[in-house]
Amino acid sequence: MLDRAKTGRVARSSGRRLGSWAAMLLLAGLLTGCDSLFDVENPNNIKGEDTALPEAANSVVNGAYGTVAKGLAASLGVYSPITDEITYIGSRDAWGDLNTGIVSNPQNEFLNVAFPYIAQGRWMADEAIKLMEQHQADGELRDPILLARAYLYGALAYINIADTWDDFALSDRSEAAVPVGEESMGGLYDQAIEYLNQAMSVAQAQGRDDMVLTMTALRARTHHARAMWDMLNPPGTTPSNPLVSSTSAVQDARAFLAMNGSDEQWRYTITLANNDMVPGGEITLGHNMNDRAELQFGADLVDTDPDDVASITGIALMDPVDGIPDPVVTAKIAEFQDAFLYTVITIVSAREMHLIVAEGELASGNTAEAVAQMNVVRGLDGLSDYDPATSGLTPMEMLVHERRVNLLLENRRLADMYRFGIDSRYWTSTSDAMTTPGSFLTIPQVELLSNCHILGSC
Amino acid sequence: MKHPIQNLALRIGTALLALLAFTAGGVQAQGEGQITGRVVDGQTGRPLPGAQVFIPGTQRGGLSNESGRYLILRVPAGEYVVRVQMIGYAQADQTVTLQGGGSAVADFQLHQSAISLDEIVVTGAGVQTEKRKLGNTIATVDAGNLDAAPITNVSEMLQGREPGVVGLPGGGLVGQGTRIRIRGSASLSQSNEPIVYVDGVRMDNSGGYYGSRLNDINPEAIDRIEILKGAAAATLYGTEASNGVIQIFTKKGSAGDLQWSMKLDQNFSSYPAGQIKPNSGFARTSEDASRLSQLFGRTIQPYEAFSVPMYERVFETGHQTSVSGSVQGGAEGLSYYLSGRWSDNDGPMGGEDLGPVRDTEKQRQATVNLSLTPTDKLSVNTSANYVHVINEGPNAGNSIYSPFSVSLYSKPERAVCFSEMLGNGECAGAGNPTGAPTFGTVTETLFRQYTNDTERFTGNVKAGYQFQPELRLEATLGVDWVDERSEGITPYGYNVDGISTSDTLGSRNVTARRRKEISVDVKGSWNADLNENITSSLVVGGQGFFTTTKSAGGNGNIFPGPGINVISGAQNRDNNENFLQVVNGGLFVQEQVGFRDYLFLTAGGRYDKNSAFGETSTGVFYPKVSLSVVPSDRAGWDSETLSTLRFRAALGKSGLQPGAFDKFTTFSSIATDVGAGLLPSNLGNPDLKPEVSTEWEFGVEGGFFQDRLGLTATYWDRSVKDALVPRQFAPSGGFTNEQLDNIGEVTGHGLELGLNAQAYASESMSVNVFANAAYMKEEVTDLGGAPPLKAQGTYPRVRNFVKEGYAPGAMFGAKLLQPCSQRPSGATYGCLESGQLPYDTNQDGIPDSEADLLAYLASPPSRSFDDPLLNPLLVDEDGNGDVLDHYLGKPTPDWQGSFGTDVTFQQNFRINVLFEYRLGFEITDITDAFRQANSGIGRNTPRAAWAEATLLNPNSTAQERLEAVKAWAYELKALSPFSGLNTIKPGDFLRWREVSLSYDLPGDLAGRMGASRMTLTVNARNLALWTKYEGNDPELSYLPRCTDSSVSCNFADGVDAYGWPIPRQFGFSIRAVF
Repeated sequence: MLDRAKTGRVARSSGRRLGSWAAMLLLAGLLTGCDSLFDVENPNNIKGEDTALPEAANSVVNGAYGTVAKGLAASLGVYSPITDEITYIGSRDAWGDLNTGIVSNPQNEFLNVAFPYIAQGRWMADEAIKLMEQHQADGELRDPILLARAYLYGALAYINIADTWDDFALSDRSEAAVPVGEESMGGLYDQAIEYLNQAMSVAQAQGRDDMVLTMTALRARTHHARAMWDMLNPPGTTPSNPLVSSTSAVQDARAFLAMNGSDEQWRYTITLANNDMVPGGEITLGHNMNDRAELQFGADLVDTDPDDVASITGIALMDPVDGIPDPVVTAKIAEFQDAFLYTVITIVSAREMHLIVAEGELASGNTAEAVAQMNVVRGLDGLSDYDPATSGLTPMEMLVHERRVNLLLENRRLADMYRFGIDSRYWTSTSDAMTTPGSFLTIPQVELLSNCHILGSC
Repeated sequence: MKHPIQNLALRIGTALLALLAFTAGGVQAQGEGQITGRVVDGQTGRPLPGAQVFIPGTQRGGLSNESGRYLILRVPAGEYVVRVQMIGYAQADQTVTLQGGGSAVADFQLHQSAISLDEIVVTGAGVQTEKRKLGNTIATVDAGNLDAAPITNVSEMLQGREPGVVGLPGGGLVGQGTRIRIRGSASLSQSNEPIVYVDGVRMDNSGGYYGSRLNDINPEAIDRIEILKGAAAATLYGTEASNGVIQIFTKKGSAGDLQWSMKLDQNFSSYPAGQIKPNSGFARTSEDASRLSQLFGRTIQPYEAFSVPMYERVFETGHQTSVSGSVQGGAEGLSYYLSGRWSDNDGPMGGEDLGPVRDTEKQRQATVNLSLTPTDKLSVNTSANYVHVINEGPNAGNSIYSPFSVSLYSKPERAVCFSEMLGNGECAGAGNPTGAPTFGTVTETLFRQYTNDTERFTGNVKAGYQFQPELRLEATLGVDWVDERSEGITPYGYNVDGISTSDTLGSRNVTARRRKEISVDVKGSWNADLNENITSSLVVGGQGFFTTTKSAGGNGNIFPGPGINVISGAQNRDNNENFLQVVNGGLFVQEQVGFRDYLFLTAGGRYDKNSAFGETSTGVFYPKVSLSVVPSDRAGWDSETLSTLRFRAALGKSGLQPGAFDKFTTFSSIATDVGAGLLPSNLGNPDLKPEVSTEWEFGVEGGFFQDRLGLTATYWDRSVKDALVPRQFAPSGGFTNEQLDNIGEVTGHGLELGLNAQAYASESMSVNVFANAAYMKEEVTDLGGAPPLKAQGTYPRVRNFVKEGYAPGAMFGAKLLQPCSQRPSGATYGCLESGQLPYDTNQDGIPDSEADLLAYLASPPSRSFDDPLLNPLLVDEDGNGDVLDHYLGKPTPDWQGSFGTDVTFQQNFRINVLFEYRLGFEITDITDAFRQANSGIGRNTPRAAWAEATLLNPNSTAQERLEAVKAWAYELKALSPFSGLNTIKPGDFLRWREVSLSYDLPGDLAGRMGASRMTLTVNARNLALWTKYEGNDPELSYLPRCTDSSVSCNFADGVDAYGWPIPRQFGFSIRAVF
């Protein structure tokens, strides 16, 4: 055993020990008393309740726009690779799964990225509508157009969700909602139309003809999409008559064309802000096609260098009448590539209005008017008129082509492929797209595992 | 205008000089003398620097210098016991008598001790205490024992030294940091890194691919590192300490003549390529075969797999030069230690002839330590560390722009020259000679450059006042200031081969981060003998940590032309700024009662507050209690066989706080083309509180044969209640970020064993051996209804989950249908009857027989292995429709530890050997998963190339194709939607971590060169690897050093995803003391 030096002395006074404890208590009192020490700054965010202030109205509506824009970009990012517009050339095989027509895998990484973006956009738009309506009711809405804008962005979100997903949930903050249900997703278009009606009412009252024009076109496009949805649901079969016959769509489209006058290049677009280097996250087409080279335009559309498939060497899709590389595709790809990450997403266009009218007329047997409408569109790019009698193409085949090129990368192609019975060269025989036409994207894991109504744990 | 760090250094330097001037006036009083002497190893006679020599019961004492000499000044005449303590040696006492004004000599020969309970530690008790009095584990790493070891940074000092302390490297790029884990993970959502102090000052220990703030400290200036392993020991460190504490102590000067030392290191490093599978492919046509034959200068036949190790072009021999020096000495009332280190390391990444990127680390480090004793009662110590580190490297990790990744993606059959083929696999000009995929060629990746430039100052002033022999007050004020700038550069027009499409017009990102943390620590200790049997030691104190982090940065791309390399010159620009302020304050009290000097009971606690909960919140109290019993110190114990015996037990709590504003509902900003907007950020949780870790441990230590053999064993058990879980609420509710909630529970327990033995000792030779082992089992017992957490978010290839009932980071994924004979009775899930294979090519709903497959494989499938009918059949054991939820392993080893030996022979020679091992864990081999399965960036291992060539060769028989298809199912198929299949593999390994041979030149020879002592050393690090693992390196993790609170940083362990292998290093050094 070691010898240990004893150095201390027996305490002579317990008072000193008490003194130490007193000092401790004093320090404790100081710590608890100096609460202001623990009040730190947070200039990075604003508190949640401040969004309800009338002064924040503009920022809230802008936020709705920004989140919906990212949501649309994200949805487009996962929708387009399912179609023949896009093919997969990179490393992340979940793109490959989508490209082969697998849309029902909730673990697909890109569905799990895209869903929260559009979900947030939807919620933020509904929140903006709620807050603007409240401000208006309180007489504190300084600019009524903010309400119209909030309705518009809400409509964009609902249209996109119905176009893209097989099912969805409309939850609020931490309160999960029961999913809408596959059979009821068409109702989201109805909600969008309702928002558009409200927006139009405000815009008309404020004399904003430009907004009324946009709402009218959007409503036409929404009625058309609703009719397509009815045609494709329940999924599993290719409709015998794929043509949409929607009086409301045609009426709105014609109303738009009447209001729009000669501006045939009119389109309503959103652009991802170029002060965000990763707009819409990593799943936007701009990032994955123009930068990272995970995806490329499909082989039906472009030719690529066999030694470098990321490099486009020419336009493969020919105009069926003139036999030249399709000028619409050429222009759209050029615009897409020039925009790099900040691609322009076309929501609706005058071209589409003509095609909606054309389809409606074709469905009702007025082929001449349908052809005339399509030729208006063709004329915009200097293409020869289509003549059913000489071209060897039926009016419906021509319509399919015109929609394909004029609505390229506009979130329409998959529905068109399903209803017109067009298979992508990339789809595999066992894929959802082949076995169950009409299948859109499934609710992904990120929602499945966190929504107590889906889990049955509420 | 001076930089703030320079200003701060200037001010502190001025203060130090003033203090020096003040104390230099002190003179030895009449009647006082000095005690001097030399401390050497009793076996070898080697001088022992850094030994603590002191007179017990007084403030007088000091350290031995590099020659083992010590000097104690201003000692009044009288008789004294002089005591020497040093880690690894038995304590020694000598009695000396000092005449007034005279000098007494006491030389010491210390004898190694396999167990040393008298070792003084600081960490954990608040004040200096002998280990034997503490009921909890405190490990000490003595830097003096590592002076010959192949160590270049703090991470390497920690690696393999202590059971339960693990280093997890993300990869082997130079300067790439290592994450540290002590007894696994105490938190599911907060950083599991231990907190780190340098000389009592809390320090930033962050890091990334390029630089580790933990490694900023000059390893040559470190005296020792103390490690607290868990909550039971770290209670007094309060909130943030439940992952343990690492306390680094820098060297201090010893009184006596000025002494200086120099050390020169030359190290050479290389990547071990032996585990890496060469790039393999095959020509599909005779035209391709002809072209490839011409390109590679060898005969290549169609459908005959061939291999080319493309990664070799990014490997080279690295070289590091390091020069360090120190000066120390002292006089009455003053001792000083100054050191500096200059190190340039050019790592083993190659390709410098192809592109401008280098993997380098330049370190400039300076340390000043000043100890003043103006009076017998007052002591002042101040230290200052200045560091300037510049790291440069390529894109790294699981990136499509990493030179290593792209070299591994390369498929030789895709190789092409856009200029003349040279016949040796190279092109005269532009080309893609490795067959890289669409993201860019290897050459193009060598233009993407990342740098991190950090300046850092850490300083403190510590004052102690001995009011009375039993009452002492200490105060420490310190600052840790980090100024860091990170840049990423992709030059305009870098796509010299015309392959890459990303940022071809250039891009640049910059982040500047400035972090300041002020530490304030005030404490008082009261030591007293309450009576003849009972001693008391009371510590009362308070601590405050005030951290401010300001960061700002920007990104830009598309430059108008070459030469512009500023964000303001870019077409698209993005910027960001962040401000974070955290205040943590705590008060602690601890009472230790000793009974007859062999039984010690300690009780205490800490009350903490943190700004994360707002100014109105109440604090948290963390209690602790521990017991240490040393029966061998009882009177009458005289066993020579069991010379030392101690039992110890400890129970304590500690905590982890959530992030600064996690409690609140917040919205953040979003830039749009219609104006600034708001978007949901944090959902908020008003009930948020710290998670509390409760840990108890029980240990026993035995010293046998006069402490020549030491055995230690510690069992620990930890439970974290109210564990913070980053809960994903339904994203359809608009708030897509996870929200912390105190709903989890995670438990862990483990056993740590240690052996230390003086196996052989004679006059000419001594052999010490050591071994340690740590067993650990962790389990997530409750997630409170939250969905499982997954590392790396939606990225499906990382398979680490936090799931109830499993270890944190457990791996889940797909499994093939198994033979029905292996299916448990009663189970109904799919299985394979005898003769069946996991395919259903005829789509009859029944697994194929060989005959079915032979029929299908009569001709080559047009889509190769991408044929959906060649997707193997997966099992869904629980029938929930999720085929990816099968448990496939865990990244944390059951057992880990190290063993080795220190041999001294012929007085002057020493050999140190260290092996490290980990057993019972798995690795997700993403690298080879791609290389096996992915047609775009892989399917290029020799086995995969053979399988595909066989499948597609029109001349193959159906039977040959069947063999290829079997290999596809059972060896090769991987990745989405089969994540985990053929990917998660056993990772057990034994690594020869360190070996060194050093030679102390004879004194006369050293003297001829003007030195008093000179040592030559040759050493090696990571010399050899024995492993079950089939991938590149079993030590890799998905991420580099990171200290954030993400699930990925915490649990993406055991993931080999294109990490650069851990390099081998060979070196030699010369160390001289003058």
